[in-house]
Amino acid sequence: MNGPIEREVVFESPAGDVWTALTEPGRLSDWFGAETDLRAEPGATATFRFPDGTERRALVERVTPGRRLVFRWLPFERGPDGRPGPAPPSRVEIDVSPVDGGTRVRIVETPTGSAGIPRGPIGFRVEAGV
Amino acid sequence: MRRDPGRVFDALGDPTRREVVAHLARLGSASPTQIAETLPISRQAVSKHLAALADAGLVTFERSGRETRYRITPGPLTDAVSWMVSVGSDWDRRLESLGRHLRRRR
Repeated sequence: MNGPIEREVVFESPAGDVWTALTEPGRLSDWFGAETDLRAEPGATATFRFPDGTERRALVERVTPGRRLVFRWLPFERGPDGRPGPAPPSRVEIDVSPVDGGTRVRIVETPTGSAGIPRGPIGFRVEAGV
Repeated sequence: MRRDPGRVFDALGDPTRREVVAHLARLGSASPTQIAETLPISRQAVSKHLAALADAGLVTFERSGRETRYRITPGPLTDAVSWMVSVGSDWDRRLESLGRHLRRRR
C-alpha cells in the first residue's frame, strides 16, 4: 500500500553503507535530526530526542537486513515542556535497493489511525512511561 | 492539539467518496438526493459514503423536514493537509541531510 507521503532518492553510495546509515544508532543520529537508540530488530522500541526537547517513541515492526526497515511512530510524544501528549501515529517504510551508480532509498509514511495502537505491554509502557 | 489524520486518509481512499466531497465543496450543503443526481450512483450509495465521511469527521449533517443536508467540516481536512506538508518536509530535510552524511564518508 502506498502512503500519502512518498519520497525516492538515489545516493551515490553502496547499499551496504546506506543501510548502515539508516540502522546504526550513531550514524542515524548524525543525519536524522534527532538522537536515537533505534536497533533494527523487530519488536525493538526506540526513542527519538529532537533538538527542541520533543521525544517521540517508535516500534520496529519489520526488518529485512540490508533491504527494508519498517517502524511505527507511537501515538504519544513528550513535548518540549516535558509533558506527554498525543501525536498522530504513523508507519514508516524504508526500502533500500542497489541501482546503477548507487542506492535508491524509498520512504513511505502512512498514518495508521488509532486502530494502530499496539495493545498489551508495549502500549501500556509507552503510555505510562513516556 | 493535532488530530489523527489516519481516518481522514482512509475515508478519502475511495475515489467515489472523493467525488462526493468535491460535490459537497462546490454546493456548500446538499442532500443525498441532490448529490446522487450529479453522480452515476444511487442515493443509497451516496448515503453510505456520507455516513463514512461523517464517521471520519469530514462532514456534518442537519435535518430540515424530511431532508438531511450535509456540509463539509473543514477542520479534519486542514489537519490532514498540515500533516502531509509537515511530514513531507521533515523527510525532504532528512533525506538532504542523509545525502550530506553519505558524501562526508565517501
